[in-house]
Amino acid sequence: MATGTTEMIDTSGNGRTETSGPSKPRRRRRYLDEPRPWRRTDVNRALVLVVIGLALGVWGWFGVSGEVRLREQQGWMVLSCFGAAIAAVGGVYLVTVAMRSVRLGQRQLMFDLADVMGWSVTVTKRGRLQLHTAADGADEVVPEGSALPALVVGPGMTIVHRSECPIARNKAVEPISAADAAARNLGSCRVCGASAANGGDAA
Amino acid sequence: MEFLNLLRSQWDRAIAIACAIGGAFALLIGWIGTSGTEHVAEQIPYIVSAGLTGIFLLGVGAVLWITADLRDEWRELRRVGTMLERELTARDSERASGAHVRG
Repeated sequence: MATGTTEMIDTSGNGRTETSGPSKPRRRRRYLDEPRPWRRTDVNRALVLVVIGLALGVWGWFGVSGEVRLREQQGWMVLSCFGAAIAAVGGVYLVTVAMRSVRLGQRQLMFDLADVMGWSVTVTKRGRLQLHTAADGADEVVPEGSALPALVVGPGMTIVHRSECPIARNKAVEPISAADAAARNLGSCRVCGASAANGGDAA
Repeated sequence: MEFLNLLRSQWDRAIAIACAIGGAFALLIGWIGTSGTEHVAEQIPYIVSAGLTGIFLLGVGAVLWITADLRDEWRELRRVGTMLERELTARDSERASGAHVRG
């Protein structure tokens, strides 16, 4: 796969390899490793909710069909509706997980694209990413050190995030170094993979 | 034959459409059943059976269709990401071999 001085390291123990070379180490990209935007555990959780909802719905259905009076039917109907709601939560959960993964992947891809093309990426106050080409950069005065900080944290947060993390969007976050994040004992973000211990990459 | 291949490749969208049609059909049956009686106690079983089943099937169809779209989006991310990763790796190799020659 890689040639020259690029080193292949099997860190996962299941045949997957990561490359690291003379340039900065590549961040892990879930969309490169996994074929789907959801994990097996997410599908299982969604299915469990759907099955529980279905079971309650069918139970309510049998209960309703066995009663003649409206007063006795109402309880069973509520049970069926509750089951339908639980099944809906299962579906919404799976869609939400997939959408967040895709969204994070799109943001990460934009940074990688900027890396390859030599462009810069800025984050607006609303958390949107903006690509700036070399031509754009010539017109603007970009202050030194204005590169996107790797780690950010907001007031009251106990977890450190990457600046492109969707959780950190639309929040008043400030850049923080890995050393400060480790000193403050900030946890790792499971969405963007930020970690104080590894200086930005969660293990 | 082409239709079967299409069904196999787009199985999730095919099931979504089938669920949507089934759900609409169940709702129609529930509607016909409830409109055929004036007693609420006779209408409730239609609402619970056909009505909720129809809504459930429509929901399953919607989830399947959205997840199919998200899976396509993920596939595109993988394709572009792999190309970029190759490009970045190639540039790293060039830089490294250039440094090696200079050294």
